[in-house]
Amino acid sequence: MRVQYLGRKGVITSALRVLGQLPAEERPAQGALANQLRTEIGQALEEARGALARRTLDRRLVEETIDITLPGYPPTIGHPHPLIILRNDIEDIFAAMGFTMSLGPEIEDEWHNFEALNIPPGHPAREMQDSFYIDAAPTGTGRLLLRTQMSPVQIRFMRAQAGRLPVRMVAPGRVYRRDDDATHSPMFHQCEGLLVDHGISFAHLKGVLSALAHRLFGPSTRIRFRPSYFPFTEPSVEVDVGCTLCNGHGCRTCKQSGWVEVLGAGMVHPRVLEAGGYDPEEVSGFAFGLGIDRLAMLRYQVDDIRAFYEGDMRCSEQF
Amino acid sequence: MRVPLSWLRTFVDWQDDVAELASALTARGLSVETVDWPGRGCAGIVAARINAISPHPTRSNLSVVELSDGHNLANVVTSATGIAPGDTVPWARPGGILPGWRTVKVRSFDGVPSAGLLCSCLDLGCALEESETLLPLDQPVGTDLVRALFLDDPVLEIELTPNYATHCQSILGVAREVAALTGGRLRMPDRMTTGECALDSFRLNVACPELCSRYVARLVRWEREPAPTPLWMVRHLCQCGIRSLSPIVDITNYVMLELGQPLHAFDRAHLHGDTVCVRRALPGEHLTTLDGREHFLQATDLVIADGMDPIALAGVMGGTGTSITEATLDVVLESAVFSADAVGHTARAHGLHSEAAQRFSRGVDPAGVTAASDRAIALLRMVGGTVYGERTFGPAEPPPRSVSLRGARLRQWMGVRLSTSAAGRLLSALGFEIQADGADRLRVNVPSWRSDVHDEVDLIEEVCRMYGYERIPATLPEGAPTTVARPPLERTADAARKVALGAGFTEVIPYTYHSRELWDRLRIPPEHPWHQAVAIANPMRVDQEVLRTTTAASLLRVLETNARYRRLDVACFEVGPVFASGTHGIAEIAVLGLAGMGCIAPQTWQGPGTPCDFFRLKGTICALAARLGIAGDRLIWSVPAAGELPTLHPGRAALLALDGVTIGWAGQCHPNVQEAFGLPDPAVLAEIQLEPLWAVDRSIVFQPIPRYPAVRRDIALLVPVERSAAEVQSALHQAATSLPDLRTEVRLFDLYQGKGVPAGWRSLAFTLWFQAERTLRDEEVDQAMALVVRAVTDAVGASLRGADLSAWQPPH
Repeated sequence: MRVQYLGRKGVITSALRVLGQLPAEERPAQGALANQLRTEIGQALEEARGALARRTLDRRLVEETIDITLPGYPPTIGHPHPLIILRNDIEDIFAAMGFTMSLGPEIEDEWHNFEALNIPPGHPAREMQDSFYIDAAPTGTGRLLLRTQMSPVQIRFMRAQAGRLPVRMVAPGRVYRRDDDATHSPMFHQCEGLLVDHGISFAHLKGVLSALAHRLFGPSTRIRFRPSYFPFTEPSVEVDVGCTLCNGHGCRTCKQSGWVEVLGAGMVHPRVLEAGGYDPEEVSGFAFGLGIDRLAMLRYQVDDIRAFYEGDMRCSEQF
Repeated sequence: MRVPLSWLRTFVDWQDDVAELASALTARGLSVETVDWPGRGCAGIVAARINAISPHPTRSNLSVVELSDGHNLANVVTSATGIAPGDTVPWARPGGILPGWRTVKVRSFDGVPSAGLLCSCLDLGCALEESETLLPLDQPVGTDLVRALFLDDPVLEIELTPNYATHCQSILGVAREVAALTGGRLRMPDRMTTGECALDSFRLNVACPELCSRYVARLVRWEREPAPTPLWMVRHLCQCGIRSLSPIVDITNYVMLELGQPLHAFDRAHLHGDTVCVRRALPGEHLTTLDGREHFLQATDLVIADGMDPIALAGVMGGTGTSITEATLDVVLESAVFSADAVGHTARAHGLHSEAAQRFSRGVDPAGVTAASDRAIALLRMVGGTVYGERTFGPAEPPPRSVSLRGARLRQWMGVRLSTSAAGRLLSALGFEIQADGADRLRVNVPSWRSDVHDEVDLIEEVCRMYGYERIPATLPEGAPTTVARPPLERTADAARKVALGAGFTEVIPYTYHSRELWDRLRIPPEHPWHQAVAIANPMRVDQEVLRTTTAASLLRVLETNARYRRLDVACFEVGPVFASGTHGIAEIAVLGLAGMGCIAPQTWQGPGTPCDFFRLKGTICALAARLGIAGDRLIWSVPAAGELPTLHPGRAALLALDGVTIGWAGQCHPNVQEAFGLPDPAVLAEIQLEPLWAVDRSIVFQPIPRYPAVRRDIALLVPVERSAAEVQSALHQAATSLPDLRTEVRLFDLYQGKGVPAGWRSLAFTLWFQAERTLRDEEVDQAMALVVRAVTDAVGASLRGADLSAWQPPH
């Protein structure tokens, strides 16, 4: 159409070409008329072309419609382990309070696992039925065993610090005991913590452990400190939090008491400070230990501890 | 330990209700686990006299009893036997409530209405199990039995920590704590001393005073059979879970529960030589204990013997030969202190964890020996006994002990500004005697029953406990945070976790031990290093025999578990230790273990799944190394020697070395292993040590970003199959890097064998990127390509399949 009217041999172009043959007085009017016509046709053509392009695009967009309800492509990402999630949470809380993390061997000797922790030979906690002993010749520091608690890391860390202050450490790790039922696994996880410095008191123990409980269980969690007994701390304390399942009204998890035991702690016994190379007359400190498995069971409402260790993907993929 | 509140109330008064008392005791360290209160709300049970008994008209096993409680007459149908007119029996009236919230109603038995019922011993909480016999009551008719037998009495169930077990394992011990809590006064029960006793032929001989510091023997006799145990005593014993046996035995048990001092009664008529001797057992001696078991004794066992043989395991259990019987009329009553260690040892060695052994092995109050004997004599007199003789050994009171308490030390440990006088008041409430010892210092005399208190820190604990943990403020410590860094191994483990999770592997924490039998399933021969494991000396189960030497042992069991549930697509990893036992002793090595079978990414509607195969593991390990800044050319993958990785498919296994040192392996499991673990598809496994990854020299040096675009060329090479991909790649790389002022990168993007490629050959297609600090012209790049192709065809015998861009496909 453009060629027919506006092309070199088109109607308008031809009309303009013959303009010169018209009388001079008619030329301006006719010329203006032809030019106007040319402009109008050109505009009409542009519009028609634009509309056509829009229609084409509209049609294409309709054709390209996808079913957005189809599932997205799942990224290939694995699932973290619930015990590691909880362990990381605990580590983060203590890192923010200036505690460093420490490790120790899973195969320990009796000196580190018991003696240095004020558990002398003959103490009931040392009996064979509680610990897995290693089939090996005893060392100068006693028989070898799979560590039954994370507390030996306290001793190792203090000795490595060689008297430097402050001692602020947390030690999460695997421990082993000869125990096996729905709430006890022969292999399980604990996190031990230790703070030794000048002037550390029971009030500091309460401050740090309250902060931990509030960060782990929520700022409005009720906390109870009650006297208990551990050979390596004195005074010793058991920390309970208000049962989160029943809000303290009593349920199966809290054995109708409204409270759930979450960790044990206490002021480091002077003999343990001495075993770590510190003078109990100069410094004091507190230590605590919590069962990561137990806390994870509470947090995720897992009723059989073995779920953490079987590697059943139907369990793993819930985390 | 069970504490009936009615019993506790005989020692001390308090105002609080049960729940408040329980929480106050818990807050002071006597953890009240539950309040057992079966008789809560009990009412309407009285003592009634039987006026007449007539048989039930239709049911022969029942009788109809006419009762009177002094005010009313009633007819009650009962199955009880052995009752006679004139007897006093417990009657639950209609409208009354029995323990367990059972309401008593008028009930009809074949048309005969029964106004309530006669209560059994169990109903009255005076028996541990159901019995048909009725209690013979000695109460006057009309007595309210709910009050007289404290049927609505709550019992506290207290879990004692080992340090409180020394002094709180008795009603008296708990009463002391209650008195200290409330400021109430402690009432001691009736006691009776022997007074003057006639001389007697009975002899006491303590042959090992180091194991028996105090022994009191009292002689008690009866003219006729002892009177029955009073009902209140039967009831208290029952509340504590102890069956009533005979008056004499009941009284020894009662005093043990009440005062914490175990007692034992011997029938004097059966003592040879009229002698009681405390000595070590002799070789060959044996004893049958009251539970009917025969024990062969060792010299480590402390025994009570008569003139000939052992008659009891001291502090643990008596023997049958001298035990109290219905015929017993003459008794030697023992109250003594035996060595806690000796009793504990004997109890464990013979598996006899009696109530007495529990108390002796934690330590009894040496000053309480005489008091307990006195208390028992007062009670024995109630059942008709007469004391007629006494022999004692050792001091009545142990030497006094005192411990210093410094005020400054106390305040520093507590974090509370407490004066020594305030601390002294808290301690004296518990029975400690306080003396000022200079300014800000106390001299504290420890009472005889507190054998758990030795040091200043023990006193600090007592002060904290009595002050109340809840009153101590909670403050955050000041001072600089530690400057010790997070352990590098843990940082490496974090990186391993992040990379593995990001690569699609799920974290598992399998057990680190397994059975010896597993080695067969893993195809590990005895001489293989993986067989040199650390053994557990005392496993509970067969799958705890040895500590693993490789994560393959754990991860294959994870795959097995999932396969059992038909879960066949699994990709998992763990970060944990493996254990090695060698000439250098035992080593713990932290590793990352990877395992998979089936697909790591599932099939979607968009396309097929991504298999979890050898190359997935290899790629993940390389990514971890890259993440830790280890240049790719420092990792060398090599084919293992025959038998080196017996668990793996010999043609699909690789060793991994970093800077020439082997640090791991990867591969597909051997078909036999696959079968042994019941896996329908081949599984892949890998393991890499974490410590070498952080121990290596780490170097990331930033390269300036080029300002000119790179030029890309693709080539496909026909290569003999015996030439490895690595050889071809390295030949290409070598040729390309030898070009002057050009930077090049080589990447394999396609591998093809089959139609169009001659047998014995395969096609490897590579992308080469050329980069220079100027605009590269096509001719330059073509020239470079020609050089590279010539070099690589010479080096590995490859031939150009053509600069075949049409064969190029985008890499996945």
